[in-house]
Amino acid sequence: MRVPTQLQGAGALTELDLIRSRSQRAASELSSGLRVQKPSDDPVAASRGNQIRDRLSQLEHYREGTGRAESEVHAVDNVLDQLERLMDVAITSGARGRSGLSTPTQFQALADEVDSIREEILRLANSEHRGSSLFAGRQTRTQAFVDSGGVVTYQGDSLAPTSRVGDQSVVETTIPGDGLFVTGGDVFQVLADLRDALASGDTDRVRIEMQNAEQVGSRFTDFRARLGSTMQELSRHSAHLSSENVLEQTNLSREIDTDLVDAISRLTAADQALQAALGAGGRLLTISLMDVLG
Amino acid sequence: MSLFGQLHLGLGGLRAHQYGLEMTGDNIANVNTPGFSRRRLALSHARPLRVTPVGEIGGGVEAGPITSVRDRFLDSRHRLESSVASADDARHRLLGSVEGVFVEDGGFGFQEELSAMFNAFSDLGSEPESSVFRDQVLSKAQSLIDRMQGGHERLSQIARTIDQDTIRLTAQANDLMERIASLNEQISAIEATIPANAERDARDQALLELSELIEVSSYENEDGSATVTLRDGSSLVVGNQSFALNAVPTPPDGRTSLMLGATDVTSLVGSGEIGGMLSVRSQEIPAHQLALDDLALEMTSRVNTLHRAGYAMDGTTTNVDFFVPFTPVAPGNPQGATMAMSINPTVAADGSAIAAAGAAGAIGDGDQALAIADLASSQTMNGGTATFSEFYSGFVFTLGSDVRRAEASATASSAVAEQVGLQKLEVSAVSLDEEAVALVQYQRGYEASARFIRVVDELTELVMTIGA
Repeated sequence: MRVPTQLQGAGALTELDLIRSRSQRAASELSSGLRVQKPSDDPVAASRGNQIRDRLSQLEHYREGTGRAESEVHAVDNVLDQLERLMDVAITSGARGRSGLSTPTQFQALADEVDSIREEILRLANSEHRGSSLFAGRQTRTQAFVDSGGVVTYQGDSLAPTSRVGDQSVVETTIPGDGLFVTGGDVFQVLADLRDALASGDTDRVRIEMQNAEQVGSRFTDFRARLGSTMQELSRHSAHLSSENVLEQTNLSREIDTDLVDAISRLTAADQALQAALGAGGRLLTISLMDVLG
Repeated sequence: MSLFGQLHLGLGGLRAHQYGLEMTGDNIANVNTPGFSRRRLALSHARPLRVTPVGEIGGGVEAGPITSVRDRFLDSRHRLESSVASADDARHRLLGSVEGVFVEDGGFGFQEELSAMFNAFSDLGSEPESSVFRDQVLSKAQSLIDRMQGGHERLSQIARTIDQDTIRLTAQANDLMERIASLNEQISAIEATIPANAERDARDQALLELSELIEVSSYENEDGSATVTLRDGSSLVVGNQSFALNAVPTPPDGRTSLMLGATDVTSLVGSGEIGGMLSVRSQEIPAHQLALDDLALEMTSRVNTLHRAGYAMDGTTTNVDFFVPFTPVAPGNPQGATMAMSINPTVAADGSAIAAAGAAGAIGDGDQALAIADLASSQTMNGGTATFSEFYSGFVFTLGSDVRRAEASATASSAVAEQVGLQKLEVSAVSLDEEAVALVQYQRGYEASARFIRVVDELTELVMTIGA
């Protein structure tokens, strides 16, 4: 085989280019930490990575939504807690009046106490969370209850706002005011009646209104129990989202991140090959008969 | 033969070996000249022979012609393989540029923006009365539009660059064809008497460079001129005439076409760098733009359908599009949908116009916004088999696979072209070792001829003193 001078150089250069290319690839992976930097590096992994990223974005969005939902549910629970306490105080007042041992002045004092509880419950019924009414259903920019001449009217609707917390998964984070405060016994009317009964000193009537108040108090407790279940579900859901997030991050890393040990090995091997090729090329290219013949 | 005749015999030897030395020097000087084929001096026994009682004695050495050492078959194969390799290299390079438009991390980020827009609708569904969330929907939608249009436009920019490069390379090809025609004329004239080695080398180099630009065929005529044609036989160079190619923009998108006279020969270019560029320009780039258009059309249509059915924050306004509707040039043709994407100005000007509610009257109703958000997980693309994200993932896969295939083709064809090139060098290129030996041979031959002349001269002097 005839080996002209250009052939020696061309062959050595081609080999050097190949080795440098391998070295550069390994170095790029090490510096970026990514095995798949563009789709052609691994089309399947790039495509899967894309879908995993989409899923991670969704999970993050659901986590934020779950957080907001939890915040709102806690706000409602806080109100329900106060409602329960207030109803207990109202019922206690009623019990003291029913005993028949009170004087007219004491009856009036009890009536005033119940009236102030009614006012406080009205204030709580109009609670807001992040600028939106908690108990007006979907009429979130509307004050839930209005007191007009002693008559309290509900201005919201019967639909609860929902929050998206998962795939096809929504949760109701508040309770429409009509269901909580009105249906099954209008708490404002019940307390007004109790107040009037105490003011009149009519113990029989006080006993009847106390029963109504106890029913309202039980309803508050029932709603709180349901809300507690929702809070637990949200908490479990949040933990599940976190776990899935970790899993998907792991999957993404498996698809597109580089194996550092492998990349370092390849870089080392390429460096050694480069040194050998440079040495061999250098020796071959400098030898010629021209140097020998005098 | 007389002594004076023998002087001429010696002179012939000197001359022949001097030619050899000059030719060897020329070979050594051109050891690295691209396209140079080593020269060889033909030496033959000079006539007439003189018959003597002891045998034939010739008239010395006859030098010439000087020929170049080359393999025509390898030359032809090298041009063919170089043409294919140039085309594959151009395709790989350009597809790499196309791929660069869609790099996700720190780049195109389309997936991120797509997810962000639908997540914004989901947030709005949970708090439809929030002006912050309404503004966020508008912001994320606009960001998605910007990304899609940016990607589409960058593909168009690559296409325009290809068009400009095609014009430049076509001019280069025309220059080469003119050069070949000129060399044809010189070769025909010179080879009436001696081989036109340098001109043939130059013409072969020009043919190789031309093949690397476009796919051509060539054959040699009896007079030594080369005829160059396109694959269908259309002449580009005949004798001392060349026929220029014209790169002209053609409607509707200004795509560059190659004309030979009045004939469109774009499809005949085939391989070569121009061929590779034009194939990406006419196939991959329009296909990727159409895929974006398909996605844009489907997404805007679906969002608009749901948005029209919803109610704005005032609780009464309905039947309003979110995106400006796109009118296809033909039914089912999404071309142009991406660049036409924009948010309905009414909605863009006032976030409260976003129809988040599913029913009239309730400000806290976000059902329609949630329905729009659910489009992200609905299989609406590819005939109802893929979500938007899955469609885009498929697009990424196809793009990556195309580039990988192009890379493999470029590597393979480059290796083949290089291998043939090396085979050609093996035959034609200068070996300094060989020239070193030749130098010594011609030097010794020259010295020997000079010594012979001196001996004859001494004999002549001796003869002249005999009668003295």
